[in-house]
Amino acid sequence: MLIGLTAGALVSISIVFAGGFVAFLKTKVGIPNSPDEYQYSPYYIARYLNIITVVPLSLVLFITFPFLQFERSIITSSEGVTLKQKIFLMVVRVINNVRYDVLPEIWYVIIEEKEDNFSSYLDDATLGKFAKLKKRMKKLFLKNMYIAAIGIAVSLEYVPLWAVEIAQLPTKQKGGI
Amino acid sequence: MSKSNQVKLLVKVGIITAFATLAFIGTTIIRIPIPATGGYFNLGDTFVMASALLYGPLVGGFVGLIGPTLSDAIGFPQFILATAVVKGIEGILVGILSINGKSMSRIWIALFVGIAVLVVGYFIFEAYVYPYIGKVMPFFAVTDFNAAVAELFPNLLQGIFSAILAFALWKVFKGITK
Repeated sequence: MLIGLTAGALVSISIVFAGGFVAFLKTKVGIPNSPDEYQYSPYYIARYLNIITVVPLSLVLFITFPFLQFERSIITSSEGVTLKQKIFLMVVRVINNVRYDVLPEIWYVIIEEKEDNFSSYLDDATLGKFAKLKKRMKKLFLKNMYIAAIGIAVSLEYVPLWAVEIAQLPTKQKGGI
Repeated sequence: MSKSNQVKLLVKVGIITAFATLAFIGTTIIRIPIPATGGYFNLGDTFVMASALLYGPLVGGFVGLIGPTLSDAIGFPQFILATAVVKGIEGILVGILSINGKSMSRIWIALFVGIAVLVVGYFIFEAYVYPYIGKVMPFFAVTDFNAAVAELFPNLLQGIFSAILAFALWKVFKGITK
């Protein structure tokens, strides 16, 4: 925890104050600062604030969003389900499937493939530079192909079944008695 | 709406959501460095092109519009506008040109147009649209003509790699998606 905070503080300080420090040094040495340089400071500070706040917050929101509770409350509704709610249910189910099944599957493949570090042919003295590059590109292509194919197959696996299941839910009648 | 139509609609929604989420993940998480250029390759465009080839312009357009745009929202909000327009058009055009495309040449033409939209689209936005809007809204003043020229080659490489992968995925899944 302490190491993380220290690293965070060091990175933050360097990002926020590096530009100012360089400008100060330039002034001291006698190199004039271009008037345009000042307009970039707010931009970089805004980018930095964005990276340390918006990005982690969005990821946390995505991970902690109560998709399952939403799904349960719609399904157990005694008044029936509107078409919009059915569409929302399908979206929620697919996203949940990607979160809990597709991502771990892809992650597993990436970790497994990472262990194969091209050493089999990188050390091969009989292969020229071009041949090694060609082999590497072919392997890169095949790995990407494998990851993408697994992603598509796992994420689409239950879509037709869910569509039938969700369509069978009682439709909410407009108006009522 | 009848139950069978509801099923059709829900299947389409499920496919769009799945591919859009994959494009989002492919753009934000799976980044593979290309040592030759110093840039990186991501799978985002692959899913946009593959979805358009497999399911047509509607799915391709929505996937292009939603997936990569969401990933831009995390970290690069200035590029949301360019990404939404460029990737959306890319998905729609690849889908339209490959409709009923049984011949390889037709699929390749569609993919070639997709690459062209990606490269030319981003160039137009970065070289002309953003500097122009940036004069009124500084938020968009992030690129200029020189930066746009520097981006041409990496974008072209990204497009070619994505198109080859999308073609391979189309070959794998074309029989089971109809």
